[in-house]
Amino acid sequence: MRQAAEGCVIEMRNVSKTWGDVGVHNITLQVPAGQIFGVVGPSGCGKTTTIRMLTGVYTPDSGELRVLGATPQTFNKRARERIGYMPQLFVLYPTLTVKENLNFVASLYGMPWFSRRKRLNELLQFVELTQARHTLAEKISGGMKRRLELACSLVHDPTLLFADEPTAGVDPVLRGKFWDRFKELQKSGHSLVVTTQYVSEVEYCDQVAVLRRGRLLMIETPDGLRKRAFGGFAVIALHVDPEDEPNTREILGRLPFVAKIESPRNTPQGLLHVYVDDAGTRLPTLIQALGRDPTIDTRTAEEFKPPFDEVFITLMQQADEKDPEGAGGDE
Amino acid sequence: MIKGIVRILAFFGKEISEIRRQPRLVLSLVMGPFLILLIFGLGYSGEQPKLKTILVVPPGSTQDPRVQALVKNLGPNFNVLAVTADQAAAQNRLKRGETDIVEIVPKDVDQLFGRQQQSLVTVLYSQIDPLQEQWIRYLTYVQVKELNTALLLNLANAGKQQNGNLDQYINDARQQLSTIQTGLQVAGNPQTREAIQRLRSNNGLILASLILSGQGGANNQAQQSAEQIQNDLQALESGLASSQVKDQQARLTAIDGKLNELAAVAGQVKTVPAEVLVSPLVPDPKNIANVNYQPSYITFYTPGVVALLLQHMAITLAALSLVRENLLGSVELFRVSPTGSGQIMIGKYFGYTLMAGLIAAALVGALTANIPLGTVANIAVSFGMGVPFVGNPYWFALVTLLLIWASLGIGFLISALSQTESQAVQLSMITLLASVFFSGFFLPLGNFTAAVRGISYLLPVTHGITAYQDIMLRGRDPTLQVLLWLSGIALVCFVLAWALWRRNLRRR
Repeated sequence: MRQAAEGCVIEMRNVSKTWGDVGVHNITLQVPAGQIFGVVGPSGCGKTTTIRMLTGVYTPDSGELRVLGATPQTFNKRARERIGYMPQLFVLYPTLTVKENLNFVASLYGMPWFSRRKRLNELLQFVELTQARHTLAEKISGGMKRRLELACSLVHDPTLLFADEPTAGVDPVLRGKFWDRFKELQKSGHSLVVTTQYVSEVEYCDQVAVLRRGRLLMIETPDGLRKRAFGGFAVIALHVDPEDEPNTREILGRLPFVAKIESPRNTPQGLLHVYVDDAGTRLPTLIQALGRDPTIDTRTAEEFKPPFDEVFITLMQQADEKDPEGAGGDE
Repeated sequence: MIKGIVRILAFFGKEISEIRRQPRLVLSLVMGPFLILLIFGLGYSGEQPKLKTILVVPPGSTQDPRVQALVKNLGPNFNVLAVTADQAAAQNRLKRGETDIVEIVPKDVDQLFGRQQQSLVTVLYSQIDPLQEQWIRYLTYVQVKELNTALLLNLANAGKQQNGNLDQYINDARQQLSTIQTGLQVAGNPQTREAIQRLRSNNGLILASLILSGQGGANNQAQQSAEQIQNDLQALESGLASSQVKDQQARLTAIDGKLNELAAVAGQVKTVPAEVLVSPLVPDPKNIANVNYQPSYITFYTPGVVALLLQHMAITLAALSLVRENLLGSVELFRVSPTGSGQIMIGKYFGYTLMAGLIAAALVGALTANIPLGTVANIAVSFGMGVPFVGNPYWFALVTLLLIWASLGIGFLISALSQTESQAVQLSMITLLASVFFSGFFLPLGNFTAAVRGISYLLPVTHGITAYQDIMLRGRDPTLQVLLWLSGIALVCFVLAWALWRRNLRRR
């Protein structure tokens, strides 16, 4: 097991890279070692550009950028050997077999021929491609291609892995397996930067950077994102008898920690969203307060964790309202 | 260092694996030119087709024996379709493409010759192909030359019959000379003047006979002697009254000497056959190329085909190579990896060199080796494709290596400049077309201007063809010039392609 590196593996300060109006602007972020750092945002928001700057493919127009303590544009060979990269598209050779492709990438990183065999077999097992190792890459499925690319990006055991939309076009079951692999890598001490369009996947990340129109909207933990979507509050979903709803609102309104009570649209009557500062600590108090009135029939009371799709849409709407031109972020 | 080698060999292995996964490509690369050569060997005679000819003769002379003789003796390059007096009909057939030429035989050859004028043999043709036009002009020139020779032969034979009279003319001239000598002793002797005039006339006859026998003409010794005699006789005649006898004697001695010269020439004419008189020079070509096989079109063109094939294959493979990396997106992987642009290029060079070298060896082996019955090569040999290989195989290997490297260099240059596969293929095909035209494969290099020949020398195949023909067919080692050209092209193209590829691969 590899020990997680201390400090930050990535530091970006006011980094910009643009082609006319397109590109990324003033990105500032830090990625601590040993984390899975997600980068999410709609198509064209600058995820791939950011990854390419981090891997040294693109040179920033301005700002400071350091990856593993060095500037990517001046990476020496040794620094490059510490980085793994899984591109967004399949860039391997269709007329080579799975194992030949893996071998080829191992050679790109200068891995000695005689000592790589064990590593290749482990990786093939890791991505469940052992059976298909002699199959031509053009003959394997899309999901297998993504797994092959993951194996190739890990073949030289990099300290820091960049995976650009690794789960794009992959079925949900396989996506789950990918994230399982990423978690395993994290446990073994690797740092990962993963971009994704599937916002539900941010749940697997330690921190998430949300990009919108080339600008960084925020960096948060997954829970932090939910809170942001609800204006900084946690939400308790309370289901009571519809006839008890007025009474319930009155009781809850008297509680000092309740910031807001809403009846969500398009939901059955009697369902209330109660906005509090911290759901974990306030939920018992809230249940206690309602229990004092025997007429109220409380059916369920739990912390409301909306799907990240919803969170993401809410966040984007909030951003659009706040900054319709997309000229600046708040982080 | 070790890691660098591992990286280079990554591309070497990859290219080999990718090519060997395309057996059809390899098969077509080897069998394609092999079959083309086979068909070429079976179907190409190397002979120019006969010119379809209509002879237009003067009216009423179609049955003339001289016309019949002309038709018979037109030569192997003419196929006489018809002999007619109707020129308009013949020209119409020419316009319709039914004949290649219409040859108009002049009607008044004898009269014009008598008037010391030449006759025109008009040849009409309708050609847009300059090579074919040149061929027609050349053949008609040769034909008229042959006709002239035949006419001269007739005249020479007639002249030899005249030669019998020549002795008589000379004897008579000597007699007149004796009469003049005697007459000089008596001043005002009328017989002397008469003898001089007869001698002048005789001298003319001698010259005429010599000319008819082919020994006369301007600046000829007989002509000069005859002229000198005429001058001396004129001086003798005009000085009969006044000159000293001593002077006249000196002139007579000179005339006697010149008459002896004419007699000597006449003696020669008698013994020389008419054919020798008309055509003293006869061509006698001898091929001193020290080869123990019979040169043929197929043996001559095979080294060129092999060189052209190798160049085309290497250029095409390399031209598609870097473009393909771009289109596949693999360059993104290279940009992030510690692999350098030079390592990628060198690895690819090694891979393609091995493949092209193996194909060259297989092809040349199949074309030249004595392989057991049943093999494709042996079938080809049995069809007449036993191409000789009389030179040093090590020199052949070196030239092949340089030819492949130079061609790969051009291919990689094309690849580095191309954005798409179509562009790369298009540029490769243009290079192939240029090679067919400018390499000396079909058209000799000497036919091009010096400036255009510069293009020829920039094509590896130009030097490949020269060296392969030298090694395979003559057993001669390649020249230093060829080796330097190939090495130069290889080096310059490698550096340029590398620089462009490096720029392309550079992190942006």
